[in-house]
Amino acid sequence: MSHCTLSALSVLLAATSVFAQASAVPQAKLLREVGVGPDLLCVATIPGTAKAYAGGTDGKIYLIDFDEAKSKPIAWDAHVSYISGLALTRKHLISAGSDRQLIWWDVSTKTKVHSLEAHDKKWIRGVALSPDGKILASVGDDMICRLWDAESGKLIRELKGHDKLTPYGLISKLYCCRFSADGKYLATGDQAGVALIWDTASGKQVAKIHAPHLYTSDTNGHTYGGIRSIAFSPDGLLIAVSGNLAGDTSTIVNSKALVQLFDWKANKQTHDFPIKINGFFESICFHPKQPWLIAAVGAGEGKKVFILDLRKKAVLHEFLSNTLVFDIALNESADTLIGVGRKKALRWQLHSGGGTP
Amino acid sequence: MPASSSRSVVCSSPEHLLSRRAFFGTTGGALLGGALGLNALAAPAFANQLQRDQKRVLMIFLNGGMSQFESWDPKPCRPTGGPFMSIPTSIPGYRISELMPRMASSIHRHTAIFRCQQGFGDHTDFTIYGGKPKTGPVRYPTLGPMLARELANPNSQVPHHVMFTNYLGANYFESAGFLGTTWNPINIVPDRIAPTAPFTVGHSRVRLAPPANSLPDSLSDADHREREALRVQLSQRFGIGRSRDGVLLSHSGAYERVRGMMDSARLFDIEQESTQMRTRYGSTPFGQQALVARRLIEAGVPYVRVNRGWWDHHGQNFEFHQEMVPELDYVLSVLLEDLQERGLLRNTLVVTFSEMGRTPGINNAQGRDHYPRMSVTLSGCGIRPGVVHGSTNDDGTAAVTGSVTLQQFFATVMRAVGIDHQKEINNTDGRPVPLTDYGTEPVAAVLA
Repeated sequence: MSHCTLSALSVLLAATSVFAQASAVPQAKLLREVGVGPDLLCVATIPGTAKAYAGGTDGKIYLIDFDEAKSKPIAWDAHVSYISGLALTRKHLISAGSDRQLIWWDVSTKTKVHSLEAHDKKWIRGVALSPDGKILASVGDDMICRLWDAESGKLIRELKGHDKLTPYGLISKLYCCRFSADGKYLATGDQAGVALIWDTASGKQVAKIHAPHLYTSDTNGHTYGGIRSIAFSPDGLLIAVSGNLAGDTSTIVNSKALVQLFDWKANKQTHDFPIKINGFFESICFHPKQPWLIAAVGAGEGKKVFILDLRKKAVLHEFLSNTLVFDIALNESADTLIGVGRKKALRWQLHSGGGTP
Repeated sequence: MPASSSRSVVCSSPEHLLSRRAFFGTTGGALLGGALGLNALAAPAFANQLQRDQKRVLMIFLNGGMSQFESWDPKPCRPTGGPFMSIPTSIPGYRISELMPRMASSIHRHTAIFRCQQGFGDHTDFTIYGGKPKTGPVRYPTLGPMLARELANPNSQVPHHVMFTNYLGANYFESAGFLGTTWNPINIVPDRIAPTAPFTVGHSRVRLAPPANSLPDSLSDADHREREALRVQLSQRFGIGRSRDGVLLSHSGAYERVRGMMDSARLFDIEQESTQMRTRYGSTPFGQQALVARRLIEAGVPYVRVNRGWWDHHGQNFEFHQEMVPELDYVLSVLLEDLQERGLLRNTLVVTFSEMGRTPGINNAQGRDHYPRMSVTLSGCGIRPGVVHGSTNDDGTAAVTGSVTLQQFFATVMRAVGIDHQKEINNTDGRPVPLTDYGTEPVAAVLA
């Protein structure tokens, strides 16, 4: 899945005061809902516009204009299987898929500039772009995070540290990655509930967080769960990981969507948000100007987006998404939120409201 | 060899069936009813042949319903196909899920596939009953006891029928029905471990052997054998004049099997295998149970069933299949290789089967729901390898050719191991019941 595409500058400016101020009462207003044929698994916003690229389960990339009321999304064939990640650089759109391909696109012509099999014939689970736009990180089921020159596609280095097997001896998965707002660190999260934090410049692993509640083996011998999304707080001090607190694993009935936060340098859990909603928090995103963590429910029955109050450690606001949401992204000014999911793309306006709840 | 009648020597016309039933219902019923009375109808030559051949069946039952889309009948790049790609196999023109690379490279050697096998749209034991009612005037047996009974060597002290489970979901236990409890399996199920916070579900501790297959410390083997001799003596005295009592026979048979099983305790012990062999089967419970199953097959147990569950992935279907299908691919391919290397595969039929398949549609939870059609495999004994029977349309929503009913599947399995699938076995009230419905034909295309 891709990520909140915030510019480094806006994040850094906002981060200085995030936890100092009181929480305003947030409001989310649905601006537009766009129907598409397939499920959309990932999104990359286009700065300065109401447009976004989304990757579908039909292997197509969709260009969605939320300002054009009746316009159909423009789509082109990109992969031969699900598209799992998108990142937009100054020159290219980069897509990743379960067909193992990492592809650089010229979006003006919608032609392929460069492509490679990035993860040893394994699925690519997600990509992340560094805040300066120079480095692309990709994670795949070979359990390696690879850093690429975001424009040339040249491999910079490999980050190895995640176990290939779960503690139950079955193959593990490396689901997600995300850079810190200053780009100094990169976090990766796997199926076994392990998050590793890396120094981007040196490639050295600098911390290891274990979120065991996001992973279990159930009565039926399934290893289950995993860190499905990961994010640094704007000040870089906290790591948030999300997924599901196991219930009935085959149906996700009676399960809770779960977000946990850690002070990663101290290796200490600071927040715990188990939400009874029968689903996974597939995508999370810190708000750069408010002490909020936005978490969207995908792959379940709960069709909601939650705004979590980091200061009060409680749900501050929740709103219906009318569909399962697999990925979310804030625009650069953090006043609109785009979500993509089950056959839909949605755009909300976020208001900080007034006063404290 | 159990006593039975064979339809191969009797005309199967309705008229004759009617007259034979009338015969059993009147003069012959009292004489021939009951399990022992069937000896009179046995076909010794056929039975001896089966014993000589020592045919066996090893079933891998995929409880919960594995997806055919993520295994034997993939539909990549279709709306129903899911994220996985297909890969070519060693059978020209046949592709399977990318999750099964080992089977893909070796599938032509031993295996035939039914792509359109009838299943059932819910979690029941309907399929292992061959679609027969579980309750009613006739207590039909499931597939396992029928095979065990037909293939068992009466002189063997090893168990007839062993079933392993490595999960705690629905088990669909085999039932011998009117065949008598002798043919029921020894069920080896895992322990439930209570859930611990924060999890809402518990864990399981998988067993590789029956929980009490050794003597307590307070009882020596000699003492136990003396007790058994005394029990046999008393039982034989009690049995005088009760030779047709099925309950008594099953009771005595159970004691003998217990003794035989304790003598066979080492069979369940994979520590008897080399480290290399244990490593070869892998460290997962399923792999370890498959290794024990091979040991049992090698020792002459005629029917072993290993359950691998739980495949009921209404949610997160692709994540779970990505984890479980490679394990199946690995264990199944290692098992077939091992049986082949030991010369056992020519007399052992390895079956993968289930209660259902999964829907073409993908639901909100990224899952697939219940679907009454699945894909199954038959490998080894009596099978023409490399045959892909049946086909589905582009989206896998309908069978195009080669649908196989449950009764046809049973008949095919039986014929593969040399059992006359139309053979009649007398019900407890003396009525002949065929192993498969009258008129059922096996799928000849997959038989050697």
